Amino acid sequence: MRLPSESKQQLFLKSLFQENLLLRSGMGMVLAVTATVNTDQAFFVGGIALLIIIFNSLMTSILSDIFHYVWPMWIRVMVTSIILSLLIIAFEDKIASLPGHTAWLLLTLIACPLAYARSKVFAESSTPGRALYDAAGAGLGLVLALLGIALIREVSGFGSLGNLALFSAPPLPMMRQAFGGFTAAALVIVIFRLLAKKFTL
Amino acid sequence: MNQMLTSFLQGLAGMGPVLTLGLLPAGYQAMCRKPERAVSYAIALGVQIPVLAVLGWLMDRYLIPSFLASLLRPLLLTALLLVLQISLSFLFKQSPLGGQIHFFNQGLIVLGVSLYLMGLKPFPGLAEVLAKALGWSLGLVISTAALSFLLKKIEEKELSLISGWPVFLIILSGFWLAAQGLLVLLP
Repeated sequence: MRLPSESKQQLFLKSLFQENLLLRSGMGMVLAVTATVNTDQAFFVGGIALLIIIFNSLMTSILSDIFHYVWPMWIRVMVTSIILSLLIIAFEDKIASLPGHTAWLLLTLIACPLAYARSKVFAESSTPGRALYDAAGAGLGLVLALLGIALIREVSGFGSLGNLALFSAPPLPMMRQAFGGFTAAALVIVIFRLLAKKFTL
Repeated sequence: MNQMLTSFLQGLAGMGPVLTLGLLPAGYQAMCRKPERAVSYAIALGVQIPVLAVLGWLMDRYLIPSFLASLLRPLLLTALLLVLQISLSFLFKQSPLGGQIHFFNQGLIVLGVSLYLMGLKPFPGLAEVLAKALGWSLGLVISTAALSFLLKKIEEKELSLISGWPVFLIILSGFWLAAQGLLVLLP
């Protein structure tokens, strides 16, 4: 919950940690399982999701704050699908270098509540500046959570981190599969809960 | 005929992208807490998957020029899904199924499956698409019932730190392993 008295920085930090979209609400769990085979993929997909979250929030806020118009959800969905298709075409080479299905799972963002949650819950009744900070915190929180999951999967599934070889052979090759996505995501959520308990987030 | 049967069984065992690629989304976790709702939710999904897959295939084959496919396919499939869901909600207005049709979360699976099928190389035949989609639908209903039952049993115990998402994800990883085992047995 956001209070009108909260500053933009407080909004940003709240969206980033306390009310992390993925770790607290489970939004975007599909990305946590599918887009975290390695850190490169997690960073790229998380970055695209961050752009979409910011775009939807900012656009919603500008339309409602300046033009007093709340754009219907189906238009947001259609616009998001066009933007995602264009981004996939623009980053075709980069996507080709990432694990398979990356383009496909980016498209599933069209029907993912993650892409619209902040725009619906917060941006409709907020100024563009506050909506931007809130969306940026939420998107960045998602990127960090995805990177955490990908780190576990990359180290255990490939035995390396980027170009740095950490083990002579992958300790748990199964972590490259969806099995790794499910278990690593569960582990990161448990770690988040422990930290939240310790620091009373 | 053999190929169709294999496609159906593959879908049934692995639920294709739904489980293999981790498409079970946020709404599912909450829905699975109540077995009776979970099953009607899965049936609503099970109806949408083959219908959108077939409509999507027809659209891809006859409507979209191939050079514009990557740009237009997601947009038109999303529009098709919205129209399909409005029609189904209207059609099943009087039954419990009508209330279980939602764009978000469900759309993730329905749209995801159709996009996945349209992206297969070589482009699949209509019978293959239908058989796979029907297999996934049936597999989804069966595993949702099992998932819901298991989640309810496990969550009756005291699990403060792993309750909710972690336990749901752990059960899914078990399902994934079982599906992989079944797929190995198929031709």
